[in-house]
Amino acid sequence: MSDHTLQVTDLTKTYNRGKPNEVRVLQGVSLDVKPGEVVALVAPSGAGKSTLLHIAGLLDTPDSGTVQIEGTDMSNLPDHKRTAVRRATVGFIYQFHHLLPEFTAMENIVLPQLANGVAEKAAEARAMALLARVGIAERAAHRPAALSGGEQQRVAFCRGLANKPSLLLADEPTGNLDPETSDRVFDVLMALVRDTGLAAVIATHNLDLAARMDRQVRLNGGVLETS
Amino acid sequence: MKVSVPEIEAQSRAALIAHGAGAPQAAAVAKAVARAEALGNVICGLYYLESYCMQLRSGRVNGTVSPEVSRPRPAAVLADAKFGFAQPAFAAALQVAVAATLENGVATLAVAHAHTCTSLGYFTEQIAAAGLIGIGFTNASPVVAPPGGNKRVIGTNPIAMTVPGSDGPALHFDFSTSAVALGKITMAKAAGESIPLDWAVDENGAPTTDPEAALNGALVSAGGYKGWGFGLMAELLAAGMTGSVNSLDVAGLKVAQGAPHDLGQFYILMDPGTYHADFGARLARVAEAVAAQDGARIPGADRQEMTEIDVPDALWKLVLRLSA
Repeated sequence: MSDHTLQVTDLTKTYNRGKPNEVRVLQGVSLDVKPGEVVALVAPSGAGKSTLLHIAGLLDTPDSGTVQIEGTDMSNLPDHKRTAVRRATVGFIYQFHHLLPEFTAMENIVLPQLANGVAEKAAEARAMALLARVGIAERAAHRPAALSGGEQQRVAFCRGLANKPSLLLADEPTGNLDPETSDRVFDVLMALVRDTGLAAVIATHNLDLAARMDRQVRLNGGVLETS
Repeated sequence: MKVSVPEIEAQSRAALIAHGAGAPQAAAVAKAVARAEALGNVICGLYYLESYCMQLRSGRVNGTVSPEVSRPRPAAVLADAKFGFAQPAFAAALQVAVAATLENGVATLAVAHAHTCTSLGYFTEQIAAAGLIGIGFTNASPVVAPPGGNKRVIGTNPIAMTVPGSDGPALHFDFSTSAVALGKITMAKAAGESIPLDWAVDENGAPTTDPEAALNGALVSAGGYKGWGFGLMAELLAAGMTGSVNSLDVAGLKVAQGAPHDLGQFYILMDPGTYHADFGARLARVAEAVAAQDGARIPGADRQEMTEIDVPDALWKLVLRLSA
């Protein structure tokens, strides 16, 4: 049993292989993340960070290499098992909140829990506790359109953590916000991550935010460099 | 009977659960039913609830299956509904599809092997709520014959488009590519009325004003060859791109028994700022020219959402019976 929450080894991914527009996105990427560790993934646009996060989060598959989550190799699992592991173990947070517009803040956090088999009352209690933790409990009954950008992103954090994942993957989680709000909301996210002790990979362009994480890795030319 | 939209949602959800749907699936479908009613889109609202419930019972739709989301290419997202409802499959894939669009400028979302999505515009509106242009296509059971023909080949195959605005959609349309919905023919028949000559053909392919002859024949596409082209486009994207079935191979959408619908929905998502920053200005130029004309409007702009709906008594009694 590995003591790492996430262990990706020698990942390669090439799009349009053998064609004139071949793009070699990942060329042997390895990354280990331990429980409680927050890793900053720093990469320019188009460097393949989303591909890496999607492969680590079991939304995409590598051409070669392995992804282990909590010591289990995901490479050869059938799709439905990968979906089940992703739902129960991995939390995603994106740059834009992507909340379901017809659902309230509370419902957006309850739905993924229902999909994971949590009873409704328990799901609502957890959603409310998470909203309180990020300071917007009184906004629970509002739809996303009635929330500010910072509030929407806080709801997205709660949704990402709703199913008590052991691994959080975040892609520019505050990149859509103005600098001041971004800074404040990032503090909320870090506090939430530290509370729960999960392993996190947080992609960011912002070197100040990156410096506040446990360590930084840079994705450049399809390979990871440790800084 | 006046019923609030939250009550419609709650009773729809209870009805679906009572007939075997899981909680998240029922929540997603009930939200869509309530939204259709709130917008006055009665065909896609409670009118469908009984068939959902009967099909849950018969197994024609799987009410508990979890959709599987994958991203086979950087700008291509797939939601396999696995013969379940379209709404939870779309909900599961939306954030991945939006992320793929922001990363690539344009992305597509294929929802495969799904139950009928009813209101296609419900989904393109959600894409627009993320600040993106959404265009959607789907197919349905066969009711439309090709121009010059007399046999049903494609469904009403709608196309929907929603363009984001500063305060809700700046443009929104959602219409079938057939001349009319089949329901208009059945209503004309029930009322003993004739139908316009350009709605349908009889079993020999001749245009007809007789609704009975039309029901034995087929609908025609809106605008003749032009609508036929758009209907085929929807067919090829919804069935061809997603790997779901052709309209030809789908039995009536409301029939309780039978094989799963296995329909596809195909969405194109675009970031309006992908190429330059003037999308809003181009949109405003058109919108102003339209607004300057009395009685003219951009479709879907300034739509009013109702909070209380006048549901026919018999229909509401049926809903309450289904949810009991």
